[in-house]
Amino acid sequence: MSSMTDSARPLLRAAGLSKYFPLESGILAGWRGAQAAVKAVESVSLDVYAGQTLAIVGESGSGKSTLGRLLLRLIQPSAGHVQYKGENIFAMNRAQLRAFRRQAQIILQDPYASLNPRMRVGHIIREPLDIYREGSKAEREKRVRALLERVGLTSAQARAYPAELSGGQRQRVCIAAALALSPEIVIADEPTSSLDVSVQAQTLNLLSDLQRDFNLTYVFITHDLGVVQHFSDRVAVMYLGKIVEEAPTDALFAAPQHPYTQVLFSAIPRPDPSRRVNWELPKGEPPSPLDPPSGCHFHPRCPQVLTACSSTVPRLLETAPGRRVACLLHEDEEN
Amino acid sequence: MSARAGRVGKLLERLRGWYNASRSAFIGGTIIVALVIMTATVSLYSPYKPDAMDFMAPLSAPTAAHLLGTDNFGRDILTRVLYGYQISLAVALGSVGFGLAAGVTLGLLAGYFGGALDNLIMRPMDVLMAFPAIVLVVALTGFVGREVSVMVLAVAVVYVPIFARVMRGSTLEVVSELYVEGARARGASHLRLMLRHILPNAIAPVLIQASILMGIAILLESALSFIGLGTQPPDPSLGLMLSEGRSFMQQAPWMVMVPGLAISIVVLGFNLLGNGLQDLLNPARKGR
Repeated sequence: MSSMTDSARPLLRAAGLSKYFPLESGILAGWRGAQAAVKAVESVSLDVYAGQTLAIVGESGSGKSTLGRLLLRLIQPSAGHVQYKGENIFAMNRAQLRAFRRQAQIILQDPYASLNPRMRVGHIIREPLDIYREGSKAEREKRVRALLERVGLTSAQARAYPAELSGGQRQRVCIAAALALSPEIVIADEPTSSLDVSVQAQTLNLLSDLQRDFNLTYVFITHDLGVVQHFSDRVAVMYLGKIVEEAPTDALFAAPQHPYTQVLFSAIPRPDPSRRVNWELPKGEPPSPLDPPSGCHFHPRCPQVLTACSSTVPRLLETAPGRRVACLLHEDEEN
Repeated sequence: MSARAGRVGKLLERLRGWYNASRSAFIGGTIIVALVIMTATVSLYSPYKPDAMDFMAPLSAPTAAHLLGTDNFGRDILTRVLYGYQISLAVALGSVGFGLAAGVTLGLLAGYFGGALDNLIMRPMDVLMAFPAIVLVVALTGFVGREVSVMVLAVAVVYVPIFARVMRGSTLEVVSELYVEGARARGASHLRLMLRHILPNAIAPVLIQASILMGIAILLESALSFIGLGTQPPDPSLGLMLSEGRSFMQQAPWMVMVPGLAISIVVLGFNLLGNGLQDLLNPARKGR
């Protein structure tokens, strides 16, 4: 868990990235006629540094999965851009995009849905090698066997169909397929959320071993703060499509600055009966992303709400080196 | 010897497995396979030619010599039915095969790319869909003449939009699957995504449709031949035999009953197969 060096050039950089899903053409059209679009991701800027793990946390509907897809150009943004080693990935031509896809892989949330049910495991892992015509047939098969063993499966399991494997084994297959081309960066979209707790730990250990061995960069999308604390170097907290706080993990866990982050942290269950926590629960339900509250999106639920919060949109400002918070409480401190 | 016994045992076990998986598909499949084998090899075992006339026994009731009787020219009805199946099955296979190939391609492209291409493909399909097969055949025979290939073409043209629509719908469903997105993230080309990831997972409903449309194609061929637009005499065709037998219904009811039953059996076979496949391939319908 190295600390961030300010001089390091980010491997992946998002600037002003937004994704609006228009309602007119979707199945929700006419259901809420007046609303133009769901702002799934709204002007998100963040840097991902090589060899580090950036965790993106937020509750469901906060836009973190959409952000992950934008970072890999799996969907087109409504505004903003993403730079990979200084190149805008949305301006890339076919050949450049092909090269980028080789370097940037994704591990998807649900290992039950993310494996083609009609392909054998070995074929799934070999496919990236086929796509990029890596080596000879025999070399590919050899690599598949090596990958299977690296992620803790047996080479005999190459003949199995996904349906014959358990959830944890399937996620290992996904990981092996993502690593087949030795990528630089892997975006993991809730890779453990659909697994049993014991299997979650094994999968996380595997991911962290692989990071060490292959010097991988991770963007780890999750809602599990316990995972974040042990796994990531830096954390970006999202609420309704916006980053509300971004900080090095240790600093964030020591002193969360945004009221939403504080509320999130107070909800982490701690296996320590003697320790009493001050439950600071948010008021009400998360608002609908179809109709986010004015000003700061969190203000209707915020325990420390100010009168200005309902009208002023807070800016994401640096409060300490490597730390950014979008909250009027901290803007006042600045000014 | 024991090795052969073991192999036979294994085969029986596999057959029982299929039977248990879907009785309907098993029975339908058995009917189809049996009919195909019987008609494909009919020239090897039948003592009669389909157009050989036995002047000694016209309109003969079923006897040892003519198991299912003869028609007004003394032609053996069983032999003619078996040869008639050849034409029926060929027309059905040809039209479904062509319709399937074209429909699946168009539906896959429309569903995968969506947008303008979707409209470009599917709107003409909607127009074609409104076209009854019989009218199309009447029009085509007017231009080309009465030929079996015209019939195949006409039925195929009617089938293309049906297959395209089913394929498009099931493509739309599969295209949003996570494994498709995953393959795309790995740099898979459009062609690879369509052929490796979408087609194998989206084809099931199309195959079910194909089985049912095979049966309908046989009915269409019979209907067209019955009204004189399909197979021409003296070629044996089930529909034509029905039509010819009409005048002799009083004296020789077997002349219509045998080809009528023959049509029913093959259509039943395809429908059973289609229903069974639906149960087998569609997990949502399991247990029905």
